[in-house]
Order: sequence, then C-alpha cells, then structure tokens
Amino acid sequence: MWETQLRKMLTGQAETIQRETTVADEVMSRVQSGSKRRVKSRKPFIVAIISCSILIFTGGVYADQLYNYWKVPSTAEEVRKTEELSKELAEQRQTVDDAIANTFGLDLANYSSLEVNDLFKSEKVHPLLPIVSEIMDNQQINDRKPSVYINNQTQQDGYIFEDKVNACVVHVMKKDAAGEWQIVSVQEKQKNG
Amino acid sequence: MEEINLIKICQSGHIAAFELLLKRYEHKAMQTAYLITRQRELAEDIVQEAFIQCYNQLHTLRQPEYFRTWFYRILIRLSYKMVKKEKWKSFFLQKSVLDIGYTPQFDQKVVAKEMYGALYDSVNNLSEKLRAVVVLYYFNEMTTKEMADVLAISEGTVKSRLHHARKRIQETLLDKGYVSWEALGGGEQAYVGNAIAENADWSG
Repeated sequence: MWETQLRKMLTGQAETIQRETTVADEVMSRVQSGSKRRVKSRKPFIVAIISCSILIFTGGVYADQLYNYWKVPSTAEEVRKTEELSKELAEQRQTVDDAIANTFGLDLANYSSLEVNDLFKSEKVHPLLPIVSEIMDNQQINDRKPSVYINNQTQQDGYIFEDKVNACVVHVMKKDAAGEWQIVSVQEKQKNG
Repeated sequence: MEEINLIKICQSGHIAAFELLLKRYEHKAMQTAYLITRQRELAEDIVQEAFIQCYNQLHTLRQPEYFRTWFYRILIRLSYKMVKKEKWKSFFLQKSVLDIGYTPQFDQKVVAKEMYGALYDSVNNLSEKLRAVVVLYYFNEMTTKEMADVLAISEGTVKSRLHHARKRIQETLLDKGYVSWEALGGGEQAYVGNAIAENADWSG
C-alpha cells in the first residue's frame, strides 16, 4: 500500500534530523535568563506610525492653508473684500502704466486695457497669446505681469508695457497685412537707483 | 500520569521539570516542524519559539492531559506563520526556498527509491495545510480528533483535507506509474512498476 510507503518515506526524512541539544540549550538559556522574546518589529512599527501621523498632520495643515488660499469667496464679506482688493490692484496697475506712458511720451486716452489672464483662459488661442507668452517667458522674478493696450478705434495697433525690477519696457505692436500681431519696436528705459 | 505530574510541576515554576518535558518533545517536534517546512534552520527556530511560548503560557493550560495537542497546536501555528514569512522573503529577495531534497538510503531497492522520490515530490507539492495533515496523520500518528484539536478545525475539515491530500498524492503516483487503477480502487495492490523491479539491478 502506498500509504505504508508514505509512512516510511516520512520517517526516513525525519530521521535525517539528528538528536541535537542546541535547541534545548538555547531554549533553557532563554527561559533561565527570564527574558521573553523581544518583538523586534515593534520599534520600527512605532516609528512608522509616528512618521505617518506627522505626515498626515502636516499635510492637513498644508492642505488647510492651500484651501483657504485657493477657495472661491463664498460669504458676502469675503466677496466684498475680494472685490476691494481687486479694485486696489487694478488702481495700482493703472498708476504704474500711466507712469510708463508718461515716461515714453505715450497717450493712452484712445487705448483700452486687455486683461492678460483672459488671454490664457479663452478656449481658442487668442491672437496676442504668442507674443504675450514670449514676453512673460523672458521675464525674471519680481518683474510685474505685462499690461496690454489696444487702440479702441483702429484695433490695429497697441502697446505692451513691462514693469521690470530695473527698467520699464514698451513693446509697440501692429497688425501686419495678414492680420497677425507683430512687435514693431521695443523701447527700454532704466529705472533710477 | 507521569507526564501529567511533570506538567503540573512545570506549571508551579520548576525549571528543571520543564527541561525534562522539553527533552521529551524536542526531537519529535523538530522532526514534525522539518517535515512541514522542509527547512532545517527554520524548523529549529520554530521549535525554539514554540517551547518559549509553551513555557510562558503553560500556566494557562487547565487540563495537563491535553498538553500534547496544545503544544502541537502552538508548533503548527508557528510553522504556518514562518513558512508564510519565508515565502514573502523569498519573493522579495528573489531567492528560492531551501529544500534539502530527498536523499534515498543506499540500501534501498531501486523501485523503492523511485517510489519514495515520487512520494517525496508529491508531499512537497502539497500546500502547507495539506502537508500538515499528512505529517500529523502518517508521521505523528494522530487520530482525526486529535488533529482537529491541534489544528483548531472541525473533524470533518480534517477528513476533507486528508482526503484531498491523499487524492493528490495518488494522482502523482498514478501519473508516474507507481499505482494502478485497481490499486486506487482498493483490493490487492499491483504496482505497475513490477516490471522495473524484476529487471532492476538491486544494490546491497
């Protein structure tokens, strides 16, 4: 019967294990020393739990800050304050642009400002987007976002003002025969001090 | 009765008595762990850990007459745990699980050697749970009731696992031609390998 052979095979295999005292000695030394088996993995486990807790906490704080920064104003108070701030920023920008226009002897009476952010938000590619993008790509840290002015009457010419850290720049642009906006001249003046 | 008294003395904290108890069970426990895990070093670790747990928890054993099943329950549970751990280790470290391999005795007949090899392979290919029931039944000669206590499962489940294990072993033997269909159906044994036996060059 194969089961008999199986018994013999298992017994034969088991007999390869010699009677040794090392296991007994090791056990008795641990028993007599009174030390229980240390759970070696406990310390790294605790470290991992603490690290995850710190990460979750700091992530939560960061996310909370980010949320407050990016969230759309919802209450009446928030909306009012946002509008006031936007108005203040627009006034500041206008002041700077007027100063640049004066510096270069330009008259903006017949020119209307184009919001640069809107160029990036439009679904279709705005004709001015390539020019404005290139100017912004060449800007340095702390340079102000450019201002775009288009002639109200002709819609064929305009200016792009740059308020850089050390200089003011005016890009004069015109539409060519194909109707594409082109920069025809660039004027720059260094700021004092 | 002697063992029961010995266990009661151990429970009172007598370390020398525990050493006696340890030496009684050590060798068999080592062999059992080795047959289940197929790794000598792992078996040593398992047996050591089993005896340490046994010493620490002996006071919880209310019926000393059930020490054997209680101890083997600890041993088998640790064997499963360590084998699973070794599998993960070998998976991540890309190293194979050690298997010492079957080394037949020189004086065994050729057919027996080959048959033993086939049996060895078939048992090794069983899952840990099926291998454990095979070892406990055929090597430790436990009854299904004792095995149910050791493995903490119902007797029906023990019988079911035993049945599956036997079936798998038989299928392997059938594939290799060591068992005929008539033998599987009961009745007189008739090894297909008889022809090999007749022409074999017996060693020893």
